Amino acid sequence: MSVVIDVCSMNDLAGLDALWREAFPDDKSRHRADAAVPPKLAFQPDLFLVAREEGLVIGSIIAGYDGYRGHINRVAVLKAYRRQGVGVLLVREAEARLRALGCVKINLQIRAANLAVASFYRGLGYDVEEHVSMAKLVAADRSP
Amino acid sequence: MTACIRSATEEDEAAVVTLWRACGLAVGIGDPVRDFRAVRAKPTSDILAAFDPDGVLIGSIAMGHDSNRGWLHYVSVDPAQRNHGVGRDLVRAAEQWLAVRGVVDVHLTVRAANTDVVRFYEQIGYGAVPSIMMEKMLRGPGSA
Repeated sequence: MSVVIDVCSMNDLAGLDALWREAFPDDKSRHRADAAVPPKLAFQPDLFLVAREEGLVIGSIIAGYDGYRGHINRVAVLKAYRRQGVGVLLVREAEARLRALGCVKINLQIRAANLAVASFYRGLGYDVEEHVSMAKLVAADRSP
Repeated sequence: MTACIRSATEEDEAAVVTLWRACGLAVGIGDPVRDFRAVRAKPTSDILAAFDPDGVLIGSIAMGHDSNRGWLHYVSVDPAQRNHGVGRDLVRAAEQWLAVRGVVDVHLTVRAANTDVVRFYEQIGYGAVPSIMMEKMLRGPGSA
């Protein structure tokens, strides 16, 4: 299997939509590919990566740098392509790009329903930090 | 008390860093001087400072975004000036700073040793997100 890690483009939209529907079936509409991809391609596009095999989108990662901490989101690999190191390639490439921007530390959040994935990140050098994560939508969510 | 809130300047560095230390926020790997300069230097992040009518610094907040999410850091109010709404006003100002940049999903993390402050955030509209947080240093402190 030859996997290419590359920056995302609008040509990946359909592939990302399929990938994310499989990986994140509970997504709100604002997280779906058609809503989420164009804004990210307009902002820090070098931190939005896909893995392709023969042109098929098989994996994704959206890294972000807020000027203080790096973040990684949307880490997904098609089920048929898991356990072959694709996720590791994606995370390592995102880390290298964040480091090049001057980022010192990456934080990531794992949903409570998805705790099994913590061992994947431990293997990549991430440690659990005892924190409470809090969030607020400061404008009306346009999701149905 | 009506606090005057504005973007922090280079001249505010010493007072803001002193406040962060007084509030116990300069812990772990954090280097508050480096953070103050780095956050102000980037277009995606900034620091706000709150002053009393005599021009004395009484509060501060750092915020940044990666287009997907906004993040609040270093939320701090002079311990002698608490319970007068300064923190609430700083968070609102940071939310507005993010909102005008198109970011409506605001996140923050509270250290396990500091969970008393969760109630404060709940009162101003934040909810705990059931999740675990993992983190990784991209390079050691001081090597930047």
